[in-house]
Amino acid sequence: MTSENDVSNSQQKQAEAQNNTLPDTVGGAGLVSPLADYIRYSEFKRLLGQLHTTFEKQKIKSIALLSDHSKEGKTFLACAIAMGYAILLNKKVLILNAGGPVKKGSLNLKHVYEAELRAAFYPHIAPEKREKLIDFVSPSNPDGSSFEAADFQIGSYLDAIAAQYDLILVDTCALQMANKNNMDPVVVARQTNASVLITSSQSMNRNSLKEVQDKLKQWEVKPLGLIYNSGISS
Amino acid sequence: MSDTIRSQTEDQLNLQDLVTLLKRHSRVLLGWTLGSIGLAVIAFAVLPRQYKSTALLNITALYFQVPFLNDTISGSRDAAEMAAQKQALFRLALADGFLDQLGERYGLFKSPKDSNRRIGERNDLRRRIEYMTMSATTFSLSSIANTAQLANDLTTAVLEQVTITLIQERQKSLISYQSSLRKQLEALRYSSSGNASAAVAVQPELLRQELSGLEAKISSLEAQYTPNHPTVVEARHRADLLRQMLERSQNPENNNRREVMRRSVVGTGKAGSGLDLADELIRRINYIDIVLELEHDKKDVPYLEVIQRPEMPPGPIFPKLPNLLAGGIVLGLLISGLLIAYAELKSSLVVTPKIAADALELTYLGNLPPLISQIGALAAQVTDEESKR
Repeated sequence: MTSENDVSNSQQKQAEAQNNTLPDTVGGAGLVSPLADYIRYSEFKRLLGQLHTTFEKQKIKSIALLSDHSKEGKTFLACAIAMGYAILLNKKVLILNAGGPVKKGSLNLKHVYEAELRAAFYPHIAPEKREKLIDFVSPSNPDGSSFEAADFQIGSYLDAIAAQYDLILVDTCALQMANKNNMDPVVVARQTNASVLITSSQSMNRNSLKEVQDKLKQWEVKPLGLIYNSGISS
Repeated sequence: MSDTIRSQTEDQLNLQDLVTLLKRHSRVLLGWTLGSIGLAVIAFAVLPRQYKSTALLNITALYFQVPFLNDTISGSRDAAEMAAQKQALFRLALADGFLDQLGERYGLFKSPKDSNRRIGERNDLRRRIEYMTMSATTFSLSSIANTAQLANDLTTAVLEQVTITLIQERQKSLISYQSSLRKQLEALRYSSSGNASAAVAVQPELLRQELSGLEAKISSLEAQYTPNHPTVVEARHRADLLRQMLERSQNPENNNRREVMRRSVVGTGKAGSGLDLADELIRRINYIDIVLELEHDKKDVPYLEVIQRPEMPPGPIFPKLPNLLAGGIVLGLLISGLLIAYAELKSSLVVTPKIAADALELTYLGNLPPLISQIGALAAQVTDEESKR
């Protein structure tokens, strides 16, 4: 229990420290402009609306983003939902990075957050609310490996901070990529209120889907639904 | 988990997967297998029957030898050469003329004798007659026909034809050999002369010696076998023939004739090698006469033996229900296996998100529209920068 509190405190401090160092600049290079544009497209808005309605209806606060393969767009979805919640719904979101070490070609959530997300909504938000809409926390060591047993403590951490956010997005590592150095996505998903499965053309065959189904059934993880990322080619 | 336990678990899982797969496709599997079995049964009912009648013929090495002499009439003592000659004799026996006669006798030909179609029909009949080497001396003769009776009749006719051909060809060979001996004797006539005084009695004496030996052999055989045993009967028959020939040789008229022949060859005065050679040639010519006489009865020749006479086949060789059923089962399993493999392959191919959601029993929440190319490029850039740092 003591170690859980230690981790929680450490993570909270990390989040606070990051919030305190937010740049007072407007906009950001690279991701922000396309993403700010992206979340306004009706197709994404509908998806966001669907998710928001579902989360509200089922009183879901924390949601784990799962995928079978890596690079299927979990982090991108987390960024887009966070921005959508913050900019379009004016809600406060925490992104919890429970993924493993960043692979080449994947989004590095920490960098994306530091470089882009914090600054994304400043033009629209009052200065006193600026730093509060999207938070980011990563229970990871500097080399990218997760803290010892962090995956088992994440539930109590989420319970502790749930009241502070409208939505907590937990970005996990791919089911196929789980290993001893990262937080197990199944363990994490079982401690969140719900989970969403992201698929792409990489995993859109029955054999792959069956594997995912077997894994999730075996560990009693029942995702809320499936989101297909049409931006990924196999 | 140890490797052994893991391996066992994987085996169980694979077996379970297989059982699940078979259960899932049980209708296809059963349907095609039963359908193929049904087809096999229909084929069994519809397909024309084929019957095969077989005879076994033994042709010993004696066929190419002259009894009493150690001469061969095949021109070679090589087993392979003799086997080839036997095969050639079979081909000779099944010549076009015989096949035409056979086909017409049993109504197997529909076309006129000299028509082109007759060639095809004849070849078809030839294909239905098989002869195979079973061992160095044993040959199998068989015929395939639409009825058991016809198969039996064809094999009987073929066996008779082969037997007659073999005997005729041997007699031709013997006569040819004898003719060559005569020519040698004729040649001596011009090249030598000699005293033939002692040669007059040579032939009867040889016959007497042969008869004496044969009688001793008959006594010995009778001690072992019954008087009706084929070996004893044959030996007696040969002894009778020898007696007849001895009788004829003792006839003064015959002696004079032989003496005239002998004198005409070797002259009347001197004895010597020419005389011995002439005696030997005359002896051989006379032996061949004896052999031809002995083998005059075509049904009883020592070198040919029918081991198995043609019999009425008890059942058709084709179609056989067990074989057709086995084939039907294999075919059904093969087709259903291919169909299952195709279905599995098809089902493992790309599916739509809606189908994927249904397959996973999940709600399809929506589509994340593409922007990933720009994000991906940015991510790669960020990751590269991080790795540089």
